[in-house]
Amino acid sequence: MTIDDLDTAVAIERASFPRPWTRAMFAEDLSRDDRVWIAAETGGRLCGYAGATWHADEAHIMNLAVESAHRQQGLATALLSELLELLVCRGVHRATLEVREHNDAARRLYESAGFRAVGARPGYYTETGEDAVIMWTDDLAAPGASARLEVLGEHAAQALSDVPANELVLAIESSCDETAAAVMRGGTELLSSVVASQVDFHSRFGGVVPEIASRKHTEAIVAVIDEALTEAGVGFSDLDAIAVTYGPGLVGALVVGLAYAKGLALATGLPLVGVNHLEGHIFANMLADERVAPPLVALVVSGGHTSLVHMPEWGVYRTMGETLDDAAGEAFDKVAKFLGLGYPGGPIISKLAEAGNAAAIDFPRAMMHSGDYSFSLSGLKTSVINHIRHERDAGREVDVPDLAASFQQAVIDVQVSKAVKAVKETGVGTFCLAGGVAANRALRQAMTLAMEANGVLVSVPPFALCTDNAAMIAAAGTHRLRRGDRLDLDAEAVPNLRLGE
Amino acid sequence: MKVRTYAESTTHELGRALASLLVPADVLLLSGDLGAGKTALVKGIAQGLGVREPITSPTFNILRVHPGKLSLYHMDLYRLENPNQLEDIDYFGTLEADGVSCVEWGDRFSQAAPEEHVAVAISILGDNDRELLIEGAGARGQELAAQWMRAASLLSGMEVHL
Repeated sequence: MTIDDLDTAVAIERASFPRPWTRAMFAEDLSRDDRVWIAAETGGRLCGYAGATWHADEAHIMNLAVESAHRQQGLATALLSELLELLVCRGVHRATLEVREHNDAARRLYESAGFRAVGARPGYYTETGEDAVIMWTDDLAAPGASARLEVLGEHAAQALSDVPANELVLAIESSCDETAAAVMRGGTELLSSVVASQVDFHSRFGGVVPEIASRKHTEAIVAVIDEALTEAGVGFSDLDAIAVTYGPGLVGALVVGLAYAKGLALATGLPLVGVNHLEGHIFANMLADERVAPPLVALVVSGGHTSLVHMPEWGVYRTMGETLDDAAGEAFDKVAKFLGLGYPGGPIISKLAEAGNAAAIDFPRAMMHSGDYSFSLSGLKTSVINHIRHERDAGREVDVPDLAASFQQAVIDVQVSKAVKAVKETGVGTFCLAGGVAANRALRQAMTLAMEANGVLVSVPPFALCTDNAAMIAAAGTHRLRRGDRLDLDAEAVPNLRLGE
Repeated sequence: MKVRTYAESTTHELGRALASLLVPADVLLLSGDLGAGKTALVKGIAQGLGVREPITSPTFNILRVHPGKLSLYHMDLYRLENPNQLEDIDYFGTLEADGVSCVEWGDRFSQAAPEEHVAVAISILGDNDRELLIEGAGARGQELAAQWMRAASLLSGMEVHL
């Protein structure tokens, strides 16, 4: 909530309370840093707010109001649970407030959040002569209380959203080579997941192989979506929302899925939700293992990405580091290509590495001790290529298994060391390895060993969920849908989209 | 024309020297083995153009657009399998757009060379030694190549053969 919101706030205040806050009171309060104010908006306009002050581990809820047109929608519950969660983050354990004795709706709301009446101030509200009921919570940071707040917040978010529970979501993914669609119910129950490079799909649709071309996505997308709906046994009219990847990726590929999704949203009037492709990869881990939930750190490694992401809570992402040059999967592919081993390079190199000595060649571990979370793989690629050239110039046969194992180890050492550092710094208890390179067995093993030594839960999805798919976009999209995130119909693809922006 | 460099940082400097000579729709076609330094040269050009974000490999995305004093279109044809795909990625539209194009593996298809361009072929002579063969095509390409080499001959750490 900011100064710009104050005209609306004062109007809501006057319509809500016999003794409303004035503009000056709001302005003074908003400028203080021992206050927390949060706002709810609809269509960019303020429709509710809540504020508290706190000292040490105790907080006082000072105000909570919702515009009359937006009451009975769970907005007050959402504001209260969010405010309490923010206070707990600041070290608050107990909260108090005063409420009019005859304001039953407000008292029920506060009781649902764990407030109990502990006393009264007789005749406190002079305008009506009512008593103020003094309410206090128990320890908000205790496990039971924080779980209750979370449930409360989820129920409120569900109530706020314009879609029913068990929502049916169609998800579309076309950020790179794969054209994919999936239908999911309630954020976890997968009814269908079609990826256009699947063998049975090829034979049914005349061998369409979507490559890098947007034209190929265009040719495939209608059939892929039809197939996903048919397999799920649903039609467009059964859907509650559409989720689509809008970045990062190849712009020409992204626009195809996005254009289709926007067209469908326009034609059907269904809500449209935009998903970040990397966020999708993190949700693949949640689909595979229901214990995975924030706070967590995820390393998304694939042919196009090497990103270390901190997810402190649902819907909040912070990119801690990325590659400065080549992605991890790309380094595997290029080394394999240089050795004439074929494509994709990851599985080939990891197979060869099993028979090799990982300590045979001491390749550089770039950025390992840089103190930040940036990765660099271009130098390693050049070192490997130089090594091969030296061996050939000296007339020696390159020991390919040793080379593969040593190269792979150099990649793994840096990934593991940065991931462990990130987990320690953020203090999270869960780590997700995501993306196509998560299929690398040696990387999985090294990461699991290092994380478990630190008492951290490690999640690695099955291979089908590591590579690009739309099931993960459906799961991430359902979460965004429930939080009220919507993509405008004039939204554009964002090839360089970063998580947290 | 040839330039011999002895360190990656020199290749980078060479890129920076080119940046100040570039105008919209200039095209640079880069070739050379993996690890030759194509991206190192583009990083130098990007720095000279005032690009702030990191120049990450375009291999996977095929095209990365970096805003700077002039937009830098960093392309990579490595993953393309046939020349028809040039149309699919709007290759020619990008070359003519209002920025500077640097195309890695730009020698991959003969159709990929527009009339006006500067071709840079990088050979690996040793771990850090590189030879860059530079050829301008068309009036603008020849002019740009010549200006670039004159600028390079004033820099230290490299040998320029005009």
